[in-house]
Parts: sequence; structure tokens; C-alpha cells
Amino acid sequence: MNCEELRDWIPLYGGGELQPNERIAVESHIGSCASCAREVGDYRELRACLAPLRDGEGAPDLWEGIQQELFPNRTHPFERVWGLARYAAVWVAGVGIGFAFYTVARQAVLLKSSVSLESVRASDPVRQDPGQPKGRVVPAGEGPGEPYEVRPTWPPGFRPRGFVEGHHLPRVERLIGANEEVRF
Amino acid sequence: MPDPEEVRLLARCQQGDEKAFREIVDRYQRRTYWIAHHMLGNYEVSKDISQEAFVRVFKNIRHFDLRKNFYTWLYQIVVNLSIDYFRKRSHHKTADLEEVEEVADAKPDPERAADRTEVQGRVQNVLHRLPPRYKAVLTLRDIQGFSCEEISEIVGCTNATVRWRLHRARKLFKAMWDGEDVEVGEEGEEAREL
Amino acid sequence: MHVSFLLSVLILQDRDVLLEMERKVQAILEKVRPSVVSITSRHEVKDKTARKGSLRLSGVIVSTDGLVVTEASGVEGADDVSVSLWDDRIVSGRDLVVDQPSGLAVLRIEADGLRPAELASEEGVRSGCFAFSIGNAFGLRGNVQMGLVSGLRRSIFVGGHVLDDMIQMTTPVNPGDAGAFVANSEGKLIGIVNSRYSVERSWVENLFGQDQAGFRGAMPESVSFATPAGAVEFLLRRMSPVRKVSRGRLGIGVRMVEGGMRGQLGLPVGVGAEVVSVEKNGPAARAGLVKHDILLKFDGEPVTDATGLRRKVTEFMEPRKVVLEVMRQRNIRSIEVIVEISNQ
Repeated sequence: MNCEELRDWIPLYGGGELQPNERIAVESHIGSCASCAREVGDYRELRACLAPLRDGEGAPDLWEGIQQELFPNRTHPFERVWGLARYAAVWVAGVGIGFAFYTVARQAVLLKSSVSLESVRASDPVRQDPGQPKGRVVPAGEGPGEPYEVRPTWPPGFRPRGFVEGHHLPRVERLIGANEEVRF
Repeated sequence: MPDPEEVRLLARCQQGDEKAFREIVDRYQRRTYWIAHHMLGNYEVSKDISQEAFVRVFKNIRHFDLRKNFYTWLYQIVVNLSIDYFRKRSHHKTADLEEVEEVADAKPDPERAADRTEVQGRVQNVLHRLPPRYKAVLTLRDIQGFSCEEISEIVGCTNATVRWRLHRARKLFKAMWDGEDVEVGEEGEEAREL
Repeated sequence: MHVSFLLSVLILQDRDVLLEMERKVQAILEKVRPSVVSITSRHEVKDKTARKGSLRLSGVIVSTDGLVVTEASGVEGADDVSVSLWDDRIVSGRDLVVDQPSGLAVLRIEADGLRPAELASEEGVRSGCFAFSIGNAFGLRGNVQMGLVSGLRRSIFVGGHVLDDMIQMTTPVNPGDAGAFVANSEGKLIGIVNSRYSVERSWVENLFGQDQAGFRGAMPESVSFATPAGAVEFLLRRMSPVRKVSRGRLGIGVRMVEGGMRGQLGLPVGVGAEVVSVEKNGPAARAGLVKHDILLKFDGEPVTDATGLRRKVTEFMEPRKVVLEVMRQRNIRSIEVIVEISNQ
């Protein structure tokens, strides 16, 4: 088989997607063809660049957005406990203070608790972070200040890793003046 | 074969159990996010799409056949949402990104170049220019490591189509990576330079 | 094909001129393309993250036994160099010789059926001559550009070094074209692409929040430089088996005295090269030459051309004592200097 015929199989060789007979055909060809061997190597290198991308760090926690969408108006269990605790603490304080007043002002007529329960609500809503988008797809162009095309951005704190490549052409930093000095 | 513990979790989700679903989200969110990210390139959009995928999963969980693989279904939704995202936008071409490769100075200075040109940045630049369907198979196979069979389930096409798309995707990716000027038209019709 | 011929044809047969020109250019391409190669040089950057780098550029085959010439900085310090021929054969490049003063590098490949470039004679190269570049801009094989020679003997500061005697041309060159074939209208090699003058680069933040090359200021157009074929020929001739390039030198920089000044000093027409710089501890410095000295005679011959003098000196094969006739403060004196041979 020649290069032309194998052209379509070469990209699939390194990933193991070829049938056994196809794989053998490619293998026997690259034994004698340097350019196809080189191409196989190139594809292998590219796969090597792609594989490490699999599980990067920095993936955001999605739960909050999902919860807003699926289970709204439900207080956070912790908040509920906290609300209850506050409620209870207020009662204890109220009783304590009332008792103190009672003992201190025993002769006095006042026995009224100085804490009004209406000022504490048992279920304060969960603090909203305004920056948190809701679990809804915002098409580009409709979000506030969103550019009309998808801007590539990384998760905050994500650090990509490196590889250097380029087409080479030196850049002249400075033209040396018209006096045309000749050095030797 | 689905993992029995997972099947139990999913069964509870079918009953509307929030805690069980949260567990499912915890297990799959990272991979889901990165699949979306490699398709879309943008953090906010990827996050939104990932969340949307999970929301849809929960809303339809009652119709899910517990004998099947859950992840296939989840990633199917993610990939479709990502592809749809591109379709919805009026521009098919994504932002014209500067090639992150350097117009090289006289000497490739390793210290300087190291921080500036990053493979992940470069990969994203190139991936970004691939048509959505090619991007999907390339991401699923070469980045996420799914088998061709799994991919054909996720993407919803035959094994042969997956193979064909994969070989086109890799060729296109390589051409762009090598810095060749490739005109990308509709999928299946790119005009290729030398 | 000469410009004058073109003009006469233009006058006589207007509409066929373009066709004729096209055919000539195509003939040049056909002749030149097989001599142009694509070079990939790989550099292992050894640090914790084990990054790798590779550069792609162009090169020209200059001998049937496998010598390839390219631009120096693209291959300097490479761990391996691979060369891709016009028929897609890929071979390894070995025995790399880098010659900084000319901005050239030479390497050797093993292959048969090579088509070396034909070097043009230097006298033919003048401002206004056609300069076609055939290279691998951005990996596009055999990419051709057309331009004119703007000037000769230009000096530029590139990659931290000064390069003298460069051809300046309007031919556009792009990344990947370093080392490309610069052909005249006969398809002969007049130079090797070296660099281009482009805007001052600065680091700007790209969309990833990373530093990326960006531009600041006015953008030069069509100012490119090539190492002349004469330097290629010198290099091939003076390259030793131990892969060093030897050239004679004095450690001096001169420029021809301007007309007005020549008259003031009473110098004969066309004679006199003023010393502009003297290298510390170089042969000229040790001989006592200083800035503003005017060289009148070198080794008994009148100094009429700075570049010619440079050639003479670089051609020395062995160290030798030479007598210079020098004018200093209007007094003429003889100074002895020893031409040194340096090995790069």
C-alpha cells in the first residue's frame, strides 16, 4: 500500500481505532516510509498534548446553581439550625435577663422582658452572592457586558502547562544608521 | 455494567431525593465541566452548560432506564447542549484568537518563552476553531479517553461515523496546530492548504 | 530577463507583458523550488516541567553532496535538526556549523538526487533588481514572494548582534521564511532570508490573562533583510573539517570619507576610510589605531571601498603583518598591524 492509500488511516493508528488488518498495513508501510513514520509520530505527539487536559484543577462547584434551579425556597439546613439556635439563645437570654431584672428589681414592679421576639426571624434567607449565575444558560450577547462571541476564559486559579513552538523569523530590533559602518 | 451503589443513588433521585442527587453531582461535575470547557472554551458558559445538564438530568431522571450507564446519558446531554450553544449563536466562527505561538525572536529564549506560550492555551486556541461535531469526538476520545463505542452512544451516531469524524478531527487539529492556514467551512467541507 | 527588455516589450505588446512575466516567474519557481527545504529544529528546554520546543524555518541546498544553508539563530543550540525535502523525504541534519557574523548556518544531509542552488555573481546584484523569496512561511511549502532589492551593505541589529553587509529588500517575508532562497530574475541565489524589520514588540495581556506578543507603534512595511550569496560562498570555502569558520579580522569599523570632508583634507578622489570604532584589545587597538584615523592605504593598495577592504581582510588565511598608511590630524604616518585569524 502506498502513502496516498494509507493517508486516512494514519491519524487513527496511534489511538488504536484501526482494525487489525488496517493496523498491520500501516505498520508495514511506515517501516520503509520515513515521511509516513514521521506523520505517525506527529499524531502521537498531539495525542500526548491532549491527554493531560483530562482532569484539570479549577473546575467550579456546580451544586449551588443546580440547587437554586431545582430546589428553590428551601432554607439551607445549617441556616435553619442557626435560626433555631438564635431563637433559642434569645429565649435563654431573655429568660436570664428577665430573671436578673426580677432578682434585681424584686421590689420594683417591672418584670417585662426587654427583648422583643419579633426582631429575630427564624428563617433569614440564604445570603445571595450577586456574582453567582443561576443554573440557566445565558446565550452570549444577552448577559450584561458579554461580548458577541465566546471569549475564551479559564477557571480562576487554573495554571496551564507549557510547550513552545513556532515558525521562525528573526526580528530586526534596530536599523543601524545611514553611515553604513563596515566592521571587520 | 452500572455500579450497584450508583444505581441505588439514582433510584433515590428518581424519588426526588435531593441529597442523593447532590452525591451524583459531586461525582460527575468535574469531568462534566471539563468536557463542556473543551467544547466551549469559556469558563462562565461552560459552568452554565454543566449546571443546565445536571438540571435536565434531574428533571428527566424518572424516565432513565437504570440498567443503562448513567454517565453516557449525562455526557450526551452536555455534548448536545454544547453543540446547540454554537448553533444558537448567529456567528459560527468563534473569536479570532491570536495564535499563542511566538513570532520568534532571534533566539528561542526558554526562560521568556516558557511563561508565555502554554500548551493548554494553545490546545484551546486550536480546539476553538474546530467545528462542534469534530470537537466533540476529539475531546471525548483524545482528552477524556472514552471508547469509540461510548462515544457513539454519547454523540448518537454509528461507530463508523465516530471513526470518520475522529480522523477528520485529528487531521484538522494537526493542520491547525502546525500553523497551516485552514479554511473551516461546514463540517465535512474544509478546504485544506498544503 | 532584464528590466529594459520588459519595458520595450511593454511598449510594443502591452497585453502580453503580463503573460510573459508570469511565465518567467513560473520558470524561476520551477528551477528554484527543489533547492528549498523545510527545517525543523528541536530544542529540549530542560527544566522541572520538561518543556520542549521546536522551530520551523527554511533552508537552501547548496551542494550535491548534501550541504544545506539556513539562518543561524533558528538552528543554533538545537538538539536535533530534521530537514524535509521538496519531495517530502525527511532526513536528519548533521554537522551543524553556525557562523554568527554572517547570520548563516550550514548543515549536512544524506540524500541523493539533490538539486543545489546556483549562486549568482555579486556584480549583478544592485538596487532595483528583482528579489524573489521562496520559503516556508507558516509551514506553507514553497511559498513565493516578489520584491526588489532596496539597498546593499545594510547593517542591522538583530538577536543581540550586529550583522553587516546585508541585502535590504522589499520582498515580504514571514515567520518560517528564515533561511529561505532569495532568487534574482535568473533564478540564481542572491541571498538567504535573514530577518525583517517589524514593529517594536511588547507584551500585552491576551484573553487568557497571559502575556502575549503585541504591537506598539507604526508598522514598517516591506523591509526585509537577506545575507548575500557572497557570504554563503565565503562560508563554504572557509568552513573547516572541525566545523569552524575562519576569517581574518582587525577589530575595526570604518566608513568611507564623505565628499566634502575629503576635499577639506585634500584626499585624492575616492580614497579614505574613516575609523568609526575600534574593538578593545583587538589587532587594530593594539596597533594604536584610534577613532577618526583615516585609512589611505592597506598593504600598499589605496583604500577606495570599505566593503572591499573588509573582503580583503576576511580572506586572510593566516596571521600576517600589514602596513597601513593612515592620516591622523592631517599627518600621514605608517602603522603596522597584524591581521588576526579568528575561528568561530
